[in-house]
Amino acid sequence: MEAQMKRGFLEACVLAAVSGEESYGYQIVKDVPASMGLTESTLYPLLKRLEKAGCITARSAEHNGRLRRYYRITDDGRARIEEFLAEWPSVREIYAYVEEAHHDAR
Amino acid sequence: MTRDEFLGRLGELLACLPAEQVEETKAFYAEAIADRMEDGMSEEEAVAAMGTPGEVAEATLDDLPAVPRAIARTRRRSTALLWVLAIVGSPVWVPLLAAFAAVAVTVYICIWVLALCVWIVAVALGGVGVVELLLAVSGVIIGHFPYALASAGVGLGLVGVALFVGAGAWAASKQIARLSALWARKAASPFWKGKGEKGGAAAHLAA
Amino acid sequence: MTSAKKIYLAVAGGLVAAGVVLAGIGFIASGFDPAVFTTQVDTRDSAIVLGGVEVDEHENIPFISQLANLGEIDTSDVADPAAP
Repeated sequence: MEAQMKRGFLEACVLAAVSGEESYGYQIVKDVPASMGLTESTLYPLLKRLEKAGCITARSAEHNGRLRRYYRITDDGRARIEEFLAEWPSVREIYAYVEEAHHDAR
Repeated sequence: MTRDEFLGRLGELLACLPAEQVEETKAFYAEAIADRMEDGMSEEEAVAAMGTPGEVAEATLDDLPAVPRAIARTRRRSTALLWVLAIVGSPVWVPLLAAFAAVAVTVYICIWVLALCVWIVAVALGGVGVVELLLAVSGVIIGHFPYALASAGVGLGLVGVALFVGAGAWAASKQIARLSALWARKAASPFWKGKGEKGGAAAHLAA
Repeated sequence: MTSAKKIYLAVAGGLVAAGVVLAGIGFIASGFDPAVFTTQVDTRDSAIVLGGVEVDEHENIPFISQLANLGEIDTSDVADPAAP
């Protein structure tokens, strides 16, 4: 997948993963579709970025005698998801065009 | 590799970052490893799932703006090398930096001069309007009423136009202030990252 | 738009409208003479022409009389040095 596109998808996936209940690092890695190939080393900078942009909030809570950081989406983050979803018709249009052109050429 | 070895190595690789940021990063990976072990992985497996410390450090540094990132990368190899490069390269980067700053300042001044021009036009129109009103008074004194009316009309009209242009100038100044804040952030982006990230991230999502 | 902004724009618009109407009336009252819009102050001989009418006793007009007198240079004390 193209890098820029993947970055956008990843952001949307992570936002979606924390949009319901609050979630934590490993849970997010497990929740996001495996095809995205999300690992902790990708997730960490992404979470920092989203937090800085005000799309998610984080808090530390105790779990089994250690601290765990929980993330939750904000209204800004929800708006970001809507923006992402609003892209869908144009993406579908592009796919349809490519498919048709490819088909016609054969 | 054990958890502690991994975190220790990561701490070394990120030593160029502020201590607080290093601790935060280490805490994140410590949590991730602990969670995986809780999920039934062995310590070895859990650590391996993080990738090598080098990759992890690279991914963390990737999010830095261009200039600090280059500095951090060079410093990771050797602090001496960084100083050698900084000193040897100074004939290149000092003039570049100066030119960059000069261009930024010039552009900034130019756009404000533009706004100033609109203000001057507004003030000039208003001034002429006021003079016309004074002339209207003179017209009344000499008893030439058509002239007084015409002058008063032109004066009032010009004052009104000046108010409109003034509103435009105000709006333009506000826009420029907003734009220049945006540009300042853009200009500074190779050096540090601010709240401007928001727009940037949105662009990534849209991409 | 805030109400202050609305009031501001309404005042500006009102001024322009009133100005156009007044100027129009003045123009008509002068018998459609474009000269009604002109103001001439000649500082050489202190001649003042307002709206095409020459003003004789301009001492009683404020502001313009001062302007007209600007050009006056007091030469009474200067004797001709090269007088034969």
